[in-house]
Amino acid sequence: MNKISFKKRLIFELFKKLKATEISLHELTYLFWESTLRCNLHCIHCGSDCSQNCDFPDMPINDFIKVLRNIKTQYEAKNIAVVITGGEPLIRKDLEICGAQIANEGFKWGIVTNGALLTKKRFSDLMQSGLSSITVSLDGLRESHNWMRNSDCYDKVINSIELIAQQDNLIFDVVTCVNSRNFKELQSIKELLISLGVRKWRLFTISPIGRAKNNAELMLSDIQFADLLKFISACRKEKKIEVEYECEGFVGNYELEVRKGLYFCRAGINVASVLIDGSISACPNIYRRYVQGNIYKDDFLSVWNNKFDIMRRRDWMKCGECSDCKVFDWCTGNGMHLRDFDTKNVLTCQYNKLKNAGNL
Amino acid sequence: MEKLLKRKRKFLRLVLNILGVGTVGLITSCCKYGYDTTEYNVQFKGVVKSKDSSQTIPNIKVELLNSITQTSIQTDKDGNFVIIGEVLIEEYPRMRFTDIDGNLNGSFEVMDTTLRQSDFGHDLEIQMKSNE
Ligand code: SF4
Ligand code: SF4
Repeated sequence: MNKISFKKRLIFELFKKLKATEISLHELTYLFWESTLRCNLHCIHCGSDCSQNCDFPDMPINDFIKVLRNIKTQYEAKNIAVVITGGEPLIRKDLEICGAQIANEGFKWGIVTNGALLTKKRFSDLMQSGLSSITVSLDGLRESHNWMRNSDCYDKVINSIELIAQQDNLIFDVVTCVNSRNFKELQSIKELLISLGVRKWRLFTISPIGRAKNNAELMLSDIQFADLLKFISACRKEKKIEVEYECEGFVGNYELEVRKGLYFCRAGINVASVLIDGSISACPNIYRRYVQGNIYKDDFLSVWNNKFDIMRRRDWMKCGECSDCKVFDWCTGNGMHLRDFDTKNVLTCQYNKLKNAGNL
Repeated sequence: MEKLLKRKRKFLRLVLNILGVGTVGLITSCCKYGYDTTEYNVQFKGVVKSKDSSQTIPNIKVELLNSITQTSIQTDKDGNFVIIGEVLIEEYPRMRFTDIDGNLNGSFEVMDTTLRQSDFGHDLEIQMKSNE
């Protein structure tokens, strides 16, 4: 890819204005609920030990419903999507009850799952409880997926994907964490997903944090990263399956080639979360120390309305690698999940990776 | 002001849509891999009292046993304490209360307690059993 074209520059400038407006309005549209820390798997990339015997109990649904009721005093429930995460949400035996209660309050709700615990019965019950979106992780073909997930769960996940793909009236996508092991399989994964009837596929790379940082096989080289974006761009042109690059960071001229929209980190602007201990934050993958409040202590809406400054004004991110960046105004320092809490520096810059690979 | 901002947003979205740009952020999940900081900050405040007499007790050592940043403080003259620490996300905060001044203000048994979700954000009232 060459230098950023004039048309794109114009678009970026307009988008910058739109972002400023979104920040001023900061309307909540997306709420994560980290309902449990328990998990059936022990994925190699996961820094938290989400074992089944996790000491931290699941959050009672009633505590979360109180937050939703609080939100309803200011927002229309139908405009907000609740996404239940974990750990593994399906490990909660009362997930259907939780979902039904969330739906009763008027909110759309969905789950992010590793897919290994889904059965026909469970899926049908979830649909009965008003499930409106589901994201399933597939991290490669059999061997790579099982390696990443540290478990022999590939077949179960494929069965789940096949089952869900047949369902109408459901937002469904598969996400793949691209690493140097599954990198060569992308084309085959794509064909597999198409054959299973999947229509949306989202790709992302791993954040260089904790355990993941020290595992070279999990990281993509700069050249591989550039090739990944070329692959996504080619798939989008092909239109056999809707492939998107996740909202990780600004990718220069690849913007609009790898996603429908432009890069915009909406953490704290449209996205909030209630974490397992009641902490109020934005995306659950953000450093925990950026939490803005706690539902057991604070009024959720007053935290949302009056705090989150650190995520809404990002000038402070112009430090370290970003300090003399020429595209800072368009990027504003990359995703919040890539900001180290102690050093405040960016952990990885996709734009510079592309530059290093000679692709910008 | 809000109305004006919404109108501006509508206009910008329209222009960008004409230029072929999707403007409504529809994510169904966020990239979740690469967790690191699995600890969270906690702050607890409360008062320590004698279980028998309900009198507040000064000079009680208060510890957050499973805090990564090791913290211990003492109750003030009115038995009040505020303790801050960092606890692993998988664990509930565990606290220990120890009488460190012998028989002064009475003598009390060491007390351990594990805090629960419902304890977050509320002032704690700790009742210590007398040694006598
Ligand atoms: S250096 Fe910083 S601001 Fe510039 S593109 Fe990279 S992350 Fe974005
Ligand atoms: S924090 Fe990361 S995952 Fe969340 S909106 Fe920002 S870029 Fe996306």
